[in-house]
Amino acid sequence: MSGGTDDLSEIPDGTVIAAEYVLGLLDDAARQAAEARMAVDRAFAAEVAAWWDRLAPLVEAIRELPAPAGLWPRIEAAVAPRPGSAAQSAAPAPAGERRPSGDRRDAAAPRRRGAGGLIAAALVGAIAASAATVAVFAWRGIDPQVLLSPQAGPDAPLLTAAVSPPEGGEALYVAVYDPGRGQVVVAPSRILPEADDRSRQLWLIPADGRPRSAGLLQRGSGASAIALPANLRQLAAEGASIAVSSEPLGGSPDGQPTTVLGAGALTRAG
Amino acid sequence: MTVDPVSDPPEPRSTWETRERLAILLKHTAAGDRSALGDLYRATSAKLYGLVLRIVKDSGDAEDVLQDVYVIVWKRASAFDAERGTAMAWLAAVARNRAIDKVRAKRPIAGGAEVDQALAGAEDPGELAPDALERSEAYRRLIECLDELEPRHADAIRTAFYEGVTYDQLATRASVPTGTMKSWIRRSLIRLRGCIEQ
Repeated sequence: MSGGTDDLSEIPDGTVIAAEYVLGLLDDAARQAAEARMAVDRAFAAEVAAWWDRLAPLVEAIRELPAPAGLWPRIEAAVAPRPGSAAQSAAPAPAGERRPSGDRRDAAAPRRRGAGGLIAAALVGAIAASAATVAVFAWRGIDPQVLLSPQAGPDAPLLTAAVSPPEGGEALYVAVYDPGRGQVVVAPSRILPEADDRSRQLWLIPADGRPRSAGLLQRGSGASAIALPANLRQLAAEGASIAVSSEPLGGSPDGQPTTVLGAGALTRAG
Repeated sequence: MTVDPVSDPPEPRSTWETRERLAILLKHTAAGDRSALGDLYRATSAKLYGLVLRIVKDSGDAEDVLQDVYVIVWKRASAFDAERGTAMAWLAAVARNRAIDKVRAKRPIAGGAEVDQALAGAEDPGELAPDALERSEAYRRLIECLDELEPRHADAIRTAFYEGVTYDQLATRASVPTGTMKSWIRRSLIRLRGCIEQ
C-alpha cells in the first residue's frame, strides 16, 4: 500500500483530505465539504475514521486540567427532563440557581426510574444535530441514518442528493439536507470549471415539478451552506429534487433555471 | 492511614486505563442513566477540558464547548461502538470537533497579526503531560513514527493536532508559504501512515 513513496499522485485524494480534516487543517468551506462528503461517501467516512484511529493516541499526552466547578451543574440542568413533567417540581429553579452537586445523585435516581418515556421524548427533541455532530458519528463508521433513526424516528432523517448531469455520469455535487436545521450543504464532488461571468444557482424541485430558487452557490471549490426559507423547508422532502444551474452573474433573470448542469432526487442518507 | 504502595495501589491516574469502565458508563448513559453521565463526567472532564482549552485558548469558551460535548454525549451515547474504538477516543473526537467548530466560528481564518495576538493573550493550558506516565503501545508507536519525520514537519503535525490550527496559521508560525506547509504535511502524513501500518 504505502511502499515508502513520496509521490502524492499515487495517493488517493480522499486519504489526504480525510487526514487534513481530522487534524483540523481545513478552512471553513473545505471542512464543510468534507463533512458533507462523509455523510454520503462511506469510503471517505472510513478514511476519516482510520485517520482518527491513527492520531487519537496523541490525546494521551494531554495534561488533565480540572474543569471549572460550575460546569457540571450547567450540564446537569441541560440534560434534565423537560419542565412540565410529573417528576419535575412545580416551580423548577432557573438553571443558574440549581443546587450544585451534593444531593444530585439521590435526587436523580428515583426520577430516573419512572421517566423512561420522558427520556425518550427528550431524545426525540434532540434530533437537530448539527452537520458537524452527525459527521463525528459518521466518522466512527456509523451510518448517520442508523445514528438518527432510533432517536429521530422517521420524522426528520437527513436527506442527500447526488447532483448528476442530465446525460448521466459522475455526480457534480453532493447535497445534504438537514431538516433539523433547515439547511442544505452543497459540495462539489469534482473540480468544475466556472466562468467568471456566470453564477451557479441551487434549485429545489418538489413534487409539482416547478423549480424554486434556493440561492446562489459559493464560487470556487468550497461547499455552500444554504438555509432554506420556511416555505421551501416544507417542500424539501424525500422525492423532491435538487438541481444546480448555470446563470448569468447574479442569478436567474426570470426565476427559472437557465442551463441545468445537473439534478438528483433527495433520498434518505445512508 | 499509611498506604502500602504495593498492596494498595492508588487509583489509576490515566483515563486510558479505565477503558472498560468508560465503555460501560457510556452504555448506561445511552440508556438514559443520568448518574452514569455524572460518573463519566468525573472520569473524563479533566482530560477533555485540557484538550479543549489547548484549542480554544479561552476558559469561558472551553467551558461552553465542554458543556456542549457532554450534552451531545447524553443524547448520542448510543452511537458509541465499543468494537470500533475506546470510549476515550470517541469522547475526544466529539470534544475536538466541537472545539474546532468554536475557534473557526470566532477566529479569523487567515494567519496574521490578529491570530498571533490572540495566541499571545491566550490562557496557557500548560505543557503536555510528561512522558513518564502510562502510555499505550499505540502511543509509543505513533511517537516513533513521528520521530522518523523531519522535526519541523513532525512539529507541524503535533501543533495541528493539539491546537486545531489551519494551514495558513501553521505557515505563518513557521514563516513558510502556505503551499510549502501543505506539502510538508501531506508528505509527512503519507509517511506516517506507512510507518504506523508497517
